[in-house]
Amino acid sequence: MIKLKISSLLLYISSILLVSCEEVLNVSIEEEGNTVIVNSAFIPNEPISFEIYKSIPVTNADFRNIEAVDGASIILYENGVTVDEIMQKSSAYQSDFIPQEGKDYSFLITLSDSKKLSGQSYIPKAVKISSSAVTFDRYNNNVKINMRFTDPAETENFYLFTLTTLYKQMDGSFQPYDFNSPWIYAASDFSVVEKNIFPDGKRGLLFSDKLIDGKEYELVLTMWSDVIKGNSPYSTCKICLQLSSISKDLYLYGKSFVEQNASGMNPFDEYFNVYSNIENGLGIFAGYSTSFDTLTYRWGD
Amino acid sequence: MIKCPDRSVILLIVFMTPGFFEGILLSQTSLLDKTIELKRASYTLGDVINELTLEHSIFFSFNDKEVDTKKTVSMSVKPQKLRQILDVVEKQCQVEYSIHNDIIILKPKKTAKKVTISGYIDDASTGERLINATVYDRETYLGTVSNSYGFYSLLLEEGDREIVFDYVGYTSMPLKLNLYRDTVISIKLSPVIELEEVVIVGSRDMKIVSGRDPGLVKLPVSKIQALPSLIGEPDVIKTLQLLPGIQSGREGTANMYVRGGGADQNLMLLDDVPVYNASHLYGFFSVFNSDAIRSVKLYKGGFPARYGGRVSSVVDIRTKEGNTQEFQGKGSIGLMSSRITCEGPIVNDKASFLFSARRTYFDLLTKSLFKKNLDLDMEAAYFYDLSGKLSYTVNSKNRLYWSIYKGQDKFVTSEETNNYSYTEGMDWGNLVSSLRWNRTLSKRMFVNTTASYSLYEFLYSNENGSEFENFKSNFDTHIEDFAFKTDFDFIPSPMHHIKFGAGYIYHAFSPRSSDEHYYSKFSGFEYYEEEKQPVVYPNDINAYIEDEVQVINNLHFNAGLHYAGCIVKERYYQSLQPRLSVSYDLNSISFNASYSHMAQYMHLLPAKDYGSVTDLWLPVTNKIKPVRSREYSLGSGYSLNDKYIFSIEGFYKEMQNIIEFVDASNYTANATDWESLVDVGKGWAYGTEFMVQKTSGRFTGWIGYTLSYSKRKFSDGVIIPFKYDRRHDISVVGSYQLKPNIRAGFLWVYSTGHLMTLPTIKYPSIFAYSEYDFDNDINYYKLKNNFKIPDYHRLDINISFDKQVKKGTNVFTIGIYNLYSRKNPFYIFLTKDNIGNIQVKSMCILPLAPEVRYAFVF
Repeated sequence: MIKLKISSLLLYISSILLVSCEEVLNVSIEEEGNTVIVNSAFIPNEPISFEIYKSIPVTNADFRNIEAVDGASIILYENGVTVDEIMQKSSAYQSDFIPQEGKDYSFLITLSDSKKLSGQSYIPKAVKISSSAVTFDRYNNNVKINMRFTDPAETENFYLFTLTTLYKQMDGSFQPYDFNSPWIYAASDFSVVEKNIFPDGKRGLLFSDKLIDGKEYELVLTMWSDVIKGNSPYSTCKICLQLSSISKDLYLYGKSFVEQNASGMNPFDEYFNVYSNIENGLGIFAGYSTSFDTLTYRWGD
Repeated sequence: MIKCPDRSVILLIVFMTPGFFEGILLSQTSLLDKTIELKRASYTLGDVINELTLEHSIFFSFNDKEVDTKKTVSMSVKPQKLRQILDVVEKQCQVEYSIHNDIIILKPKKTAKKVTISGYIDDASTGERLINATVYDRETYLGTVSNSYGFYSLLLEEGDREIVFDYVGYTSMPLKLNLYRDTVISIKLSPVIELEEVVIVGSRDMKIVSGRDPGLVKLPVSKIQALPSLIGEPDVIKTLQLLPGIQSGREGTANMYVRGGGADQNLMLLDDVPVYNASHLYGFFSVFNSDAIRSVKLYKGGFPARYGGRVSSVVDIRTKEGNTQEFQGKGSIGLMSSRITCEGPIVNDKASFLFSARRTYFDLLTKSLFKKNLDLDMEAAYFYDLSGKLSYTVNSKNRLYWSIYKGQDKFVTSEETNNYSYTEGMDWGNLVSSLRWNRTLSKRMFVNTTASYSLYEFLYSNENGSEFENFKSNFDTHIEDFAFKTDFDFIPSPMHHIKFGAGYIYHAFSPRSSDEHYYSKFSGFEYYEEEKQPVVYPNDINAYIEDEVQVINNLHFNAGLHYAGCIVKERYYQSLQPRLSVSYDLNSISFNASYSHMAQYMHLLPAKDYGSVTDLWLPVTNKIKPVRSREYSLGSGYSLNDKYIFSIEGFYKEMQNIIEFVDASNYTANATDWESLVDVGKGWAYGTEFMVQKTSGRFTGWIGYTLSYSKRKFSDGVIIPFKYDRRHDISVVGSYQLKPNIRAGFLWVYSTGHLMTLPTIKYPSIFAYSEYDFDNDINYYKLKNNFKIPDYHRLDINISFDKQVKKGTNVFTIGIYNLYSRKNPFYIFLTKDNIGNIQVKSMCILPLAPEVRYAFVF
């Protein structure tokens, strides 16, 4: 993808036209009341939980003052049938119901002081990683990981790929490296892999099957050799591959989130909002399912 | 009033009276010298007769089947002799009078044979054709104006006539002729003074404000060059921005927003050919070199039917034709740019040329600055433009013109750090060329045929890498037009000037083609992708007819119809656009009104908010329909001693099918699906424009004020203000001739700050945008255009010193842009301070900029 760095040039031009200056404006951005936020990302075989809170003014430095919404009642539906009524337990809203892949889920939240909120999504079926391999190129000092899977035909599919590494410690256990996520500096096809994103601090790749619909596809990742060295060089390393099949809602949410952040760097970009599928509120309610594979790299192999 | 259906009865009685012949002379003399003060200035003939009969006992005799008493006549309300009143009646009502026994007998004037005088009106010093020069008969005041190619045609009765040729700033030329057959007279007028005024509304008798052309601004080129300018580069568009109803975009940019319309809704014509991107240097300068320009007209309403294709304004810029008399040149050297223009005869009075060039050189000046401060190598950073024109008079009936314009911007920067290099380049520009053929078909008909070509292209390239890897990408977007049109001027009588014509434009829109190549020595991985969006070829056709009619004295109409059609991807859009403007002049005061229906068959999809070069011109599609507008205006003008002109004009405009981004997320990557990224809605604007001009004397200038409102409504049904909904817009512009060779100029502008969209709330995402979980803010923009940036104002001044030298004139100008260093925001952004609190900050540019320019004429 072409990154037009026009704004940077524009700023250079500005500096030509004499010294530009920055100034803090004493203005208040008009607040338009709180909006209820609902975040819930759910997977098969684990209870669905909801985080509900109120938005904060954009001028707040961080989310320390974010206010959780208490006293909400949530009705959970599976394929349109009520499966659970969730009440607040301590500070969280957690269902006892266990969702399954391939099914649709929706909810209705009732609050005492605002409109009812609703949303719906589904859990796509996990797509299996059919093969994977890791190779170390000593000459170029990099690591290549190949992962193969087959995209299901006739359905619109969306993926989030993440990778974590664990290193064998002296006591025989496997622990993560100091840095959370290895740097993937090249993926095999830029037009397939659309966005870099960080779920749970892990570097992830977000993409759709737009160009690989119904085909077997091999994702080739190239990384610095640090990925197999960790903080105890030449120890055995486990590389955990996670290929998540995500709902379209989660894909749109993730994609627009990355793009909003990127556009924030450029004051001339047109603004846009992050995707949300929460009726009368904001946030995301989306399902996904993950298939795993683990590669082990032993030095000397 | 006495009516005598049978005049022979009266005549018989008169002839039988004793002393008839002696008495008749005495009575005629005394009656005609009777002093009369009429009550009103405007009458019908019947009213004049009634008032003279009832109030002054003056009796008339006429046959009401032969004399039209409903004809209007303008009178002086000052005391005057009856003779003077009857002379006016005779001239204006096509009657003759005689007196018999103190009874005034009216009879229709004998019909005289009509003859046509026609020809061209030129500047005697340069041979340039004069546009809108006046030609009139001094006795009847019947007249016309020359068209865009200096051609005029006037139908008069045969006989002895005194024809006056007149043009503002030129010595008028009266010519006594005995007209008895059709005559061709081409006239050369000599300039006497420089134009110093901005003329709002042109008119047949050259009053500055007559109300004849509502919404029309005529901008003298001399005014563009006299005003203070940014780093000494006079600019057409920026001068137009100082006039009521025309607003600028961000600080320093050359975008225009006319009466609430968008930046893409202005038709910029250079010698009749549309220019798609009219700005250099990201909009800081327009592409029009003022040295090569002959005339500038802008319509913001009351559009004549001959114009079409955009919905908010038409800027009609004509370049000079080239001096047919002698070689001449002018140029200037400024802080950031220099210009040169040469013109002269190839064959005297037959063929001429004009060549003009301009180039900036701030890349040379700032190269070391970039290297030192930004560690950037500025390999290229300039723009240039070249204009050329050849004119050839084939014979008295045929004339050919060929003109070409080429403008280009180029920016290339490179950076090298830690064995990693980065090079980025952008290259964009317009190529516009036209071949025109003027032909006089008859004494009353003139035709101009134009074949033209216009290309706008933007190229982007990027290469970065090290000895281990390399990435290259290229991006290209362009729009290309081939056009052909024929325009006829038919002048059947002084009361009608009919214009009609038709045109065809073949467009080629290439919204995007790109390629990317990556190679890594580390991995051996290689990637190449080429993407080319299909080129779209819309075909536009148009036809129009308009008539400038003088219905009765002082009441003028311009009524017309414009038909436009567009075939794009097997879909045919069409529209019939009625246009009407009416004006009524009463000596020093005038009134006008207009109605225009316009349509636009292309959209500009803005990449950025400042009129970026990457903005994409896209044709209408099945989903995105043409923009349509309807505009109504009502105005009045008042001239005080021909020195001060006061004008006021109110307008209401509504626009359908305007587009706006709903998801602007890096649309260049998704341009194949751009239709899904935009929302279609409607907009409306209304306001009032005031202007006071002082047009003569040592001090000239104007004060303009616009009070306006501009709204938009998209699919969500919420009414929001337009981004450039500036409530108040004021400009005060003046120049003072301190000495014959010293002139000082100033301008002060004030406008309400424009609007922008800032987020109001935020919430945490389930993802993060870095390895750190706390980097997960989601900003939410609830309402568009919810934040007004601080008001804009600045004062610019300059002073010019002229010095006559042996071979011409040298002019040295110094000035200051933004004298009191007002920090006008260029953009607003949110940022965090040291302890993490969010702040709203403004980035200001141009806190103070000098103007230094040395101009010369040889």
